[in-house]
Amino acid sequence: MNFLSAVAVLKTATIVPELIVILTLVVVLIVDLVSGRSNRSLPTLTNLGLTAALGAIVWQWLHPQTSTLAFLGTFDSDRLSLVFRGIIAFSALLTSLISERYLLQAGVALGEYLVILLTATVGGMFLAGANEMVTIFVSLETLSIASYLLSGYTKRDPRSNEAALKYLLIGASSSAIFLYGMSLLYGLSAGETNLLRIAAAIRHPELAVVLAMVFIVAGIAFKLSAVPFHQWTPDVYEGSPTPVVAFLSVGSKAAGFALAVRFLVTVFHTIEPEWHYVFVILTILSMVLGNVVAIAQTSMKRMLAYSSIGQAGFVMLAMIVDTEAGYASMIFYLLVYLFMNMGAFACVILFALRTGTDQISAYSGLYQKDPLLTLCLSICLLSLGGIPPLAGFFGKLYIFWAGWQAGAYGLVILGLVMSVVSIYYYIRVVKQMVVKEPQEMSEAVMRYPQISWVEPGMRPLQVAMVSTLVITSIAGIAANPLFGIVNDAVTGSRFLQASVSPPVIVQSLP
Amino acid sequence: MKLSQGVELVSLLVLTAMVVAAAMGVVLSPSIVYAAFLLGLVFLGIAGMYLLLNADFVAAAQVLIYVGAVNVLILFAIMLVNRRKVYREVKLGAVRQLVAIAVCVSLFALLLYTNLNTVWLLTPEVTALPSGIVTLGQHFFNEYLLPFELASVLLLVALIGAIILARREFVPDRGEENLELVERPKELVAVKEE
Amino acid sequence: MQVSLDAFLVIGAALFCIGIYGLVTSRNAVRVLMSIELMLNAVNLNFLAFSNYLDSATIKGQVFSVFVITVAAAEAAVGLAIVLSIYRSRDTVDMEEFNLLRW
Repeated sequence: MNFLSAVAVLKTATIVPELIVILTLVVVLIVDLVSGRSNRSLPTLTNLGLTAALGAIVWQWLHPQTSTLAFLGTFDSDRLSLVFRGIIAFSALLTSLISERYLLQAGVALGEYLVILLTATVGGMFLAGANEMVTIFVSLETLSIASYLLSGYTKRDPRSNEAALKYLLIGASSSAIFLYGMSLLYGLSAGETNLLRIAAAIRHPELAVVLAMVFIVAGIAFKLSAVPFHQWTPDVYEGSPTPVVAFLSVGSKAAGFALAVRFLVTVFHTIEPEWHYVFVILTILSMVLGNVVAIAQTSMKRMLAYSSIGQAGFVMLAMIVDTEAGYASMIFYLLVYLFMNMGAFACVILFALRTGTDQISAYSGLYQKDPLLTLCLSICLLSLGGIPPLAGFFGKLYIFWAGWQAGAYGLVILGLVMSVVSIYYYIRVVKQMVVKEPQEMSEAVMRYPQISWVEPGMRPLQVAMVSTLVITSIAGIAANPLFGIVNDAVTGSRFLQASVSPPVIVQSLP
Repeated sequence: MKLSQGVELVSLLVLTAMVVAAAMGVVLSPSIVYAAFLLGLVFLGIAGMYLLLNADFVAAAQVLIYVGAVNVLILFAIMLVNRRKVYREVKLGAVRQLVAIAVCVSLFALLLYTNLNTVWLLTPEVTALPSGIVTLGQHFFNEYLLPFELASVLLLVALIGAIILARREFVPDRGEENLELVERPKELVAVKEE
Repeated sequence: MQVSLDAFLVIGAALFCIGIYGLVTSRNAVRVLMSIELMLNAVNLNFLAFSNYLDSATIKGQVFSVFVITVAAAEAAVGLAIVLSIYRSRDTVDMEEFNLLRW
């Protein structure tokens, strides 16, 4: 077999976006090595590479293949995985935009940071399409190990060290538990690692299948930071460099959701009530604990950590509804969440760069000094809370509508109550920034420096901030293209179609 | 009973005793250095079990990577960070130990019950492949090509990242750089005194 | 008596539980890492046992365990680098002392 026929058999074209990211990674590494530390072109190179990868994803979206399985069934490049890979790549692009100034100010090397960020992106993107347990494991670990390294990147700071250590120890043990579950599945299916073949081989719902499911859910829930597997989240979010937190809260989480949907829906269809039951508990706990504890926070990063736990609860609610509308609303919300959360983090970074603090009390009176930052942060936070007519409102509306249609009344009502709670703590920040009298200004704001965007790395931050601001404001009103995308993603995914439209006749028989 | 089966059984018993005892030592031994050496013993015992399971290549990899690399790495780390220090007593330490023991024993019982009560689809006769390595290699370049290549990226970045985190940062003309989060720590928190 | 699959599964389960015990109770960060290695070895034992008794023709479990060993080595390297960097800044590896991040 020669090279070209191997390429044709494996359908290498399906992973072109990932290949572009890997190529960028290598180029950044080499340029960094050759040119020394003073090179300013590395972020530009990274952004170009990620944009090209996004372009490749769009191209693949516009030219759908009839058979999406590539690499002999290892990788599924259906539209669902394309959307998730797009979200992950986009979050990496925004992260790279908001990182540059932060890293320069923190005095750390840019080159290796970008390389590790790109690796995490590659891991997440492969995870979103992985259809086989070995690939899932290796890509999950690529994402995780890169994330541990990123969260410890400001290595002279004890908080960052501590965050990295906690993240690594909890992450590695959760992946060991995940692996134990996968080994049970391997045994139960008598030697299969492909998800579709495992699903076909496991017919009898016995105790071992449930146990494997519980172990695997524990591993995945760690990535989603669902309560009670969330303990690492606040600590890691507070201690890690802020751009890294932005990536973890969006990109890494989206990869986790892609894994959850594909793995659970494909493999555990025989014990669907059981895994739904487990996820209902996780959803309720995440929504309640995330949103309630967020009220008590004094640090902005920590508040966003708890808020991201609560937000994950809403997304899980959409996932367990298990209807076409449910999955569509889940992807829609993740798309919207990408922009609003990234926007919020861009603002938090900008504030930290100018004042050197992330205490919520330090934000008081910011409106007098920096209206643009205040506007952007307010819009993003209000959108996260679900205030109309911002994008987050429509995202939540869609989720609750899908849940109500499917008859999950209790969960939807709880979700509504909890989004009211979340509005309370988001509004609190906005109120602090806007309505304070000049004499109530915090010290940090009093010493606020002259606004300037000329320092190296400020322009990308500004671009990221303004673009997320614009998208968050209009994505809700002009949501039709997004709705089209998410519906295509759900209808274009074979395993989801098999799950949401089960053979009705067979089920209704006694 | 054939002689080969007897040998197999006896060696499994010996290896089991060795692995379980050494593993208990790893988590219970008061000295971290002994724990690390016992961990090496666990790895070796497990490698022996792999041989019983007809996995010669994995057994070799286990000895080379786990004993030769991971264990040595752990010993180096202990050498670098092991300052003898009396750990402060924590509140309710004994209760926590008891809870941990209870949880682990019940988890073990659950796993035992599940494993023994599941009907595994055993193949009628276990025969070792004439050459396991060839089969492994074919797997690596067929359906496991993608993870195989991805693992190279993972190893490269783990290498770079480990060096970045572990090396001392010192630029001669600029002195030590700060390399800290931009956000200042809260005043309450006693971070290092410069 | 033939050595059976169950024997290996029991050893795997025991090793896994010992690993979890070490994970929960250890004060020393390096020992926590060692406990994680124990858990990964237990998983590998499971894979190889299944591979031998259920899948002896295609031995996919062996492939899986090779990947687990590879990743575990990478994880150990990164973990020890992080332990080293935290030791430099905090001068201890006691898990109970790592409490800067509280609200």
